Amino acid sequence: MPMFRWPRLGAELSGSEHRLTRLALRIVVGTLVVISAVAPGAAEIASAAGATPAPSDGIGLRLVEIPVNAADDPRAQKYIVDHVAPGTLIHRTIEVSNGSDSSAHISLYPGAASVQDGAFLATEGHTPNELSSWTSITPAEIDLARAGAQTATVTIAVPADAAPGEQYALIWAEARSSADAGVVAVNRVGIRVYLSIGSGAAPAADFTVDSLAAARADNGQPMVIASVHNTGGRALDLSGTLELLAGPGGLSAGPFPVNLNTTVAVGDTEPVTVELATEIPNGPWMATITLGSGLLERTVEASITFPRSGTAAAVPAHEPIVIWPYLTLAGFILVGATVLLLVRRQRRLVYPVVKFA
Amino acid sequence: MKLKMRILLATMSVAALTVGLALPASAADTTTTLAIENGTLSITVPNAAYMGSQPNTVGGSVVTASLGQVTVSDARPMNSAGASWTVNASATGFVASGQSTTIPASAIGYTVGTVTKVGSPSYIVTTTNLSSMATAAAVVAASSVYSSSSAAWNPTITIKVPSGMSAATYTSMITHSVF
Repeated sequence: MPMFRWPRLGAELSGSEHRLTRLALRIVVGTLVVISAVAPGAAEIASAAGATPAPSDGIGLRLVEIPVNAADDPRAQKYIVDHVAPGTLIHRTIEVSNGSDSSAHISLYPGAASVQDGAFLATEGHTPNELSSWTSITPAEIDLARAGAQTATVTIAVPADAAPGEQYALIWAEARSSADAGVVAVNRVGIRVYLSIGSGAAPAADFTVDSLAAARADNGQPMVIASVHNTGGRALDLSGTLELLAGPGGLSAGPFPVNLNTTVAVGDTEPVTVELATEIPNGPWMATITLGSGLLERTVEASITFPRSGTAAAVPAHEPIVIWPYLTLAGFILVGATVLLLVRRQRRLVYPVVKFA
Repeated sequence: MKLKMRILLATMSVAALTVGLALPASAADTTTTLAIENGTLSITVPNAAYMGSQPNTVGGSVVTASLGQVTVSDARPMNSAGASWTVNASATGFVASGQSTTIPASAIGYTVGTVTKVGSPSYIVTTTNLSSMATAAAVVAASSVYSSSSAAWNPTITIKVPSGMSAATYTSMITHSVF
């Protein structure tokens, strides 16, 4: 089920954003044309320039392999997400690329990360934590020519006495500019690691959306705040959309993308905010929010009305009431009853014949 | 007796060897993986920026300079779940070799400015300006990215230069981390 649709009422970009986008697109197309004149191989990218950003021209990092059992999981395609027993050794291949116009020296190392207050947090430099201390990357130093790329192996050796639970880290690729004068630029790209440790099957991810609250920001912009409770055993990377249905005069609006870069730790409850267009009427609306993390998806709805200012009381959210299963059930009962009736009538007709034979 | 001892020792060492060999085998990779054709997450920051020169003043002064364009390109696999990324920025204090005076990182500010989005412009970008770059903090965060896209901005660095600085070329290290 596609969660993203083109914006309808109110979700349009402002005029200035449109202009910026158009300008930026023009710049990209211009750049790509120049590139395609130099390198014929780049012509393919140029033909798809409508939506393709300029080719990476900095330091890039990507995952090259993912576990077979997580092939469908969108999170596992971007991050190292796994569940292992204590004492396990895991390997993942990553690839570092240099898109700059000069050669680059790149350092690869693990660093600590944590999930707090709804965000995946990185730390500075080589700050270690438990998971990062079990992690090594070979080779740790790579010299890449212009437009070069090389793979490296991330090895995580989970000790046999590791405590069960989920741990977080980042695999960093770092490049530094020369220390000439002024400011030395350090660029880092990280791949997040979510490693669940425990014996047996992976703990299931689960969450509930407990309530929806309508609110208005100081600048008058309407917002919806959903309260998300992580009831499972894994951290959640939330994404999703909100739709406003059954509004005044039968209006509907959205879907609006959920404003979050939110990672909810196990057991935590975090607010998830959706910013809406200013011209949205106050309501009442039936707000339907769909949130997902990986393959998990939840849809709930609640009737909300936007306040003139501040935040309205949170309305408990419930799963959408779907009529068709009941209709189907009613249909089955009807058909069943009819068949029963017909059979009975048939028997009544047949019975005397049998008796007299 | 001697022979028995020898046999025992030999058996023990074989056993030890077996254990030694068996351990890494039992701790071997248990996850089957498959290769994927995946896009990269990348960041570009201008190589080295020159912040200008400033005469020493009694009351201190403020230097404002543009760092140059920072670009984040996200070509990781996109799907209905979308993607998100965060850019943290931090700095070390300005130091000059042989000088005892420094400009602390807490006196360096970071203003994001306008973020230009390319590719999937409907995604949401949240920006935060920093009054102190002493600790790494999120400056730009993108969420609900549903297709390959990039974002670019040209941050302004504000340096509160204290009074009584020695004349020298001071260098700081500014880190941008995308994850």
